[in-house]
Amino acid sequence: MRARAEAFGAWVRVDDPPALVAVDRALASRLGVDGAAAWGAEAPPPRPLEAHVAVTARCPVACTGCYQDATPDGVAPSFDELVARFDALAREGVFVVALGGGEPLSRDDLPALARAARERGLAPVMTTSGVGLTAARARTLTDFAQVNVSFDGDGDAYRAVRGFDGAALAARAMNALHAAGVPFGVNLVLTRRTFGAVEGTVGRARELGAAEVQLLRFKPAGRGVGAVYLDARLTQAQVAEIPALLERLVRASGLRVRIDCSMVPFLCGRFDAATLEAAGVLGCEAGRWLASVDVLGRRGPCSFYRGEEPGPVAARWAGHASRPPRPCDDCALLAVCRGGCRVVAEHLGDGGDPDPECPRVVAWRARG
Amino acid sequence: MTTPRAPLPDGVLAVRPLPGANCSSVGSVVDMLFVAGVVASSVAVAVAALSAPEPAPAPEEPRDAGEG
Ligand code: SF4
Ligand code: SF4
Repeated sequence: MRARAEAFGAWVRVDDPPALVAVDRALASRLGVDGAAAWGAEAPPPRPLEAHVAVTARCPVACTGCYQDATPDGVAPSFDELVARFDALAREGVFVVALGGGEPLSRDDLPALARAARERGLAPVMTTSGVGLTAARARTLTDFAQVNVSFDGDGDAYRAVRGFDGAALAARAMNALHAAGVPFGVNLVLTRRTFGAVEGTVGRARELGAAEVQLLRFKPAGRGVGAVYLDARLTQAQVAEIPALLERLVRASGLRVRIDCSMVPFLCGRFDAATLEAAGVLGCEAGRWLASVDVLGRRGPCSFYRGEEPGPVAARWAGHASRPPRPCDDCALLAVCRGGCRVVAEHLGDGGDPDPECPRVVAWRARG
Repeated sequence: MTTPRAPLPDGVLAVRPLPGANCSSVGSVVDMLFVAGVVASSVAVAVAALSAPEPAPAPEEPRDAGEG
C-alpha cells in the first residue's frame, strides 16, 4: 500500500483492482498513515497525484494538433535526467507518471525508464501513436501499467484529427500489445468530424483487444490553434449529446470509459459535484493534482501550457476556482469542474473567463 | 439532474480507478456515474482488506494458582 496524507485524510493506492482511494482521517489513522503534517491547522497546498513527463520532443509523424509541436529532430533528455525527474516526483508523493512527448517509442531506453519509475513507487504509463511498435518492441513494455494508443477512427476520421492516416499503424500496434499481454487502451480525440463515428471506433478498439477508451476534447495547442481549432472543435449540438453518448458506451461498449479533465463541463446539468467527487472524477486540476514536466525539465500546471514561465501560469490556473466568474460561481459542478479548461478559456478569451464551450456558460451568455 | 451515488464503504470518500494512460490531460473513469456499483464494489473489497482490524490478541493462558 502507498499512501499520502491530505487535509481530508489520505489518498491510498490499492493494487487489486488498481485504484486511488480517498479516505477520511479516521480510516487513514487506522491504516497507519502519519497525518501530522497534513492534518494541522494549515492544510498543505495540493500536490500532484499524476505527472505528465515529456521524454522526448521527437516524433516522426507530427500530428496536426500536437500539443508539444513535436518534430522529427526534437530534443530528448538523457536517461539520467529523466530518472532525476522521477526521483523528485516520487519524493512529492506522485502516484502515476505518464510518459509522452513527442513519440516515446523514439527512445530505445523505454523499458529501463519504466523499471526506474516502478523502483521509485511510481506507476508508469505511456501514450503512443504506435509508430515503431512492433511485436518485439511490445514485448519489452511489460513494466508499463498501461499503454494508450492514439486511435481516432479508421481512415478519414483519423486523418481529420491528425493530418495523416495512422489508423492501420495504430491497429498493428494494438495487435502487438495484445499479443505481448501489455494492458492497453485507446485515446480518441473528439472533433466535429470524428464524433459521429465514435461508437464504431470504440467497437473496433475492443475487437483489437483494448480494455479502455479515453475520450479527449480537442485542445487549442501546438499546431492546433486558431482556425484549425475552431474548425475542429465540437459543435454545441454534439456537446449536448455527450452524457447520452457516455452512457451508451458504458453500458454497451464492453470497455472502461474515461473522459479527460476538459470534458467535465459537458456533464453539467446531469451530475452534481459530490457525485463526481465520489467517483474520483477530476476536472481542471492543472497546477494542483496534475503537473507536467517538459523536455527541459520545467514544471508546469498541465502539458498544454505554453509561452510563459510555468510558475505564474500554474498559480493562476490552480487559483482560478477560488474567484469563480459568472456563471461558474453558483454552479453545482464548480468544486470539481473548477471553471472548465483553462487552455480553451485562455485561447478564446482571457485568463479570468469561464470555459466558453461549457453549455451552461453558452446558455448564460445567450441570455445576455 | 440524476445523482446515482456509488455505494462506498465507511471512511471512503472517493474511488479513482487507475491507471489511465494519457500523457496530456488527466482522465477519469465514468463507469460508476452511469452504472452504480461498478468498480466501487470491487474496490470496497480491496479497502476492507486494508482496513481489517488487527486480529484480536490470543486470550491469556490461565495463570497458575499462587502466581503473582
Ligand atoms: S458553469 Fe463553470 S463551473 Fe459550471 S460546468 Fe460550466 S465551466 Fe464548469
Ligand atoms: S487546462 Fe485543465 S482542463 Fe484543460 S487540459 Fe489542462 S488540466 Fe485539463
